[in-house]
Amino acid sequence: MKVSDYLKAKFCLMDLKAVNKEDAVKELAKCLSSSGKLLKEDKFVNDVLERESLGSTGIGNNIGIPHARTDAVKGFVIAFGKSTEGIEFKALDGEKVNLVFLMGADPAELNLYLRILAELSKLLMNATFRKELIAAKSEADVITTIKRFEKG
Amino acid sequence: MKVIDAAKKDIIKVKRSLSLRRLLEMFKDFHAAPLIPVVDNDDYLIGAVYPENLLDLLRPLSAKLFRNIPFTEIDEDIFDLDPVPAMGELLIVDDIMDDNIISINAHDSLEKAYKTLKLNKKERMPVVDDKGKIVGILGIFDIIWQMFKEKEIV
Repeated sequence: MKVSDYLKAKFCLMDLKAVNKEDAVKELAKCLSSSGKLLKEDKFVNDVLERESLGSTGIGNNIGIPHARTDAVKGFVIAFGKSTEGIEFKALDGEKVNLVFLMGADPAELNLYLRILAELSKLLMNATFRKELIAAKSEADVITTIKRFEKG
Repeated sequence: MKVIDAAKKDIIKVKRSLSLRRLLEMFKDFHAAPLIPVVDNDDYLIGAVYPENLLDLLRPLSAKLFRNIPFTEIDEDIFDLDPVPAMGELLIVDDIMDDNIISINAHDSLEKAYKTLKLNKKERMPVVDDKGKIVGILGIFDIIWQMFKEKEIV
């Protein structure tokens, strides 16, 4: 099971307009609405922000992985967004976030959701991978980069 | 004999904002397969973490799917995986807890409690009052102990 099995080019935003966490989550959730898997977009956003209020998913290295288990999602969704300016994310290291992965899963998909979170965190530990994601010029570049690093 | 007479009342419980790292440190101090109840700010039971919820973080999806089929258990795969340190802070109790919890009312009988544990293949479960607030944990051994006690063996 890989991130690239679920993340599609149409759910990648190469230039996030948001400057704060709430707007970034809203922007990415909107992008996911065409997936047909967001049953209630507003509730999804609220659930993700509520999860963030319990503990920030800004894990350092300018990365944020906001996520929620929620019945507002059918199955599993994942979107990616990039911000050159950086997003205020209340990250653990206090730095702004440039790479955001938004994830949601219905409660029955707990296992899949945790596995993808684990796979994604593993990829993002690699500094070269982060550098290449930031340098990616297009949505297709993002997917190609992820696939390349997934192969190891 | 009621559940409340046999249940352990001095228990460890956590909030859903606790990080995976801190949760694991709490599990480490148990000498037997534990259950950690998750409560809200008013002590209402909202979930529970069992060791299998933690194993699910390590176990590949395929193993989970085949878990109940004989001879396909491949638990040793957990040693092939390589979780990264960031997971310790990225994940919190809210992400991994089981919110479809089996619990028992403090005033229920021990017979009912025993059947509930057996039916759900659990070693222990949270005990709640009429409002749903946590008051203890009841395990198979607590029931056994209570039965021996009634017979004045202990």
